Amino acid sequence: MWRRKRRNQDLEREIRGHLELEEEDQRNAGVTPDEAPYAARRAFGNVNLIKEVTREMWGWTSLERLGQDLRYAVRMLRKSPVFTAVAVLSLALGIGANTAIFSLMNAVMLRSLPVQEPDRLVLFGAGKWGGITDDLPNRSWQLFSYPFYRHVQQKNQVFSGVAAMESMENDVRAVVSGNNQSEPVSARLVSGTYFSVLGVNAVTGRIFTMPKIRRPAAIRWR
Amino acid sequence: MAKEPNRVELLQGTLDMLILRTLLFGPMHGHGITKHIQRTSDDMLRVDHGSLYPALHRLERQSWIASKWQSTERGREMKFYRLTAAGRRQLLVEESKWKQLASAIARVMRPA
Repeated sequence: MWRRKRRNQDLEREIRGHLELEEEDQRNAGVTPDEAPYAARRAFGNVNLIKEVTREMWGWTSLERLGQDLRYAVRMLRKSPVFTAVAVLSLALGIGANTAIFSLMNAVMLRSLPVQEPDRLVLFGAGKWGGITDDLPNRSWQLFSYPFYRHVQQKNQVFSGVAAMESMENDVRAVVSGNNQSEPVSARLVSGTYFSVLGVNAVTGRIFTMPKIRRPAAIRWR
Repeated sequence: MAKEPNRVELLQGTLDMLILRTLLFGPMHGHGITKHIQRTSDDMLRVDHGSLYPALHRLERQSWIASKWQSTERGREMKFYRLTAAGRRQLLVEESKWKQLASAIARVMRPA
């Protein structure tokens, strides 16, 4: 902006110099000294228009015009506060609703699971029922018994790995190392293949693999 | 601006060429460029100031001319424009374009 101001002054000076020389010419041509400035201006043309057109050559005019438009918009909005309030409110509601819908879609459809290859992961059943196999809510394939899982896991020729998790989450209290107090945690029984199949690691502690299944381990994940 | 009947309007696009050509003789300010073009054309061509200054600033932006504040012989500070190397090349381009245009018009007006 500072550079622009200097350039404007420069142009002002340039045109003033031109007018002065023109004045001299007019006087030399016999125009009276009183008349000469007017004659020079007449010969030059519309000074402000010429300045305007010249400024356009600098290439900043579009930016300047944008600024003017913005200022004008603010002025007009101030003049009618009720209209402005309604417009802002409807925009806010619209944007809010869209954001809410998108966050939901993002969470449900777009964001992938935090496992190594989510696109190769298949879930048996709907994954929303909890309970024991004998107690199927709608008698369809929703829950599977542990022996069933073992069978599938051992006879598996289709998947690179099969893992199972208990359908019910247990809220227990545990002491995380370093803390003196116990805190509520969510615990879930999972098969020994769980971590290797999902391809995830524990944040702290060690994860178990198939052979170590007999040794119980508590780990902190997530 | 009232124009005398014996004066012709500058053809679109020829002003740049005339400015570059004028500056070939050395640095000059806007007023001097106007006067030079009018004088050498025996007052046939009148440079409209409304196009002169925009043209000068456009040419400067394209680096065909460069400007500098300098004193005239009579001690007045004026903005002098001088031809750059790129401007010289541009002058050749415009001149050859002009020659083509002129000969093309001549052929139309007076078919051989």
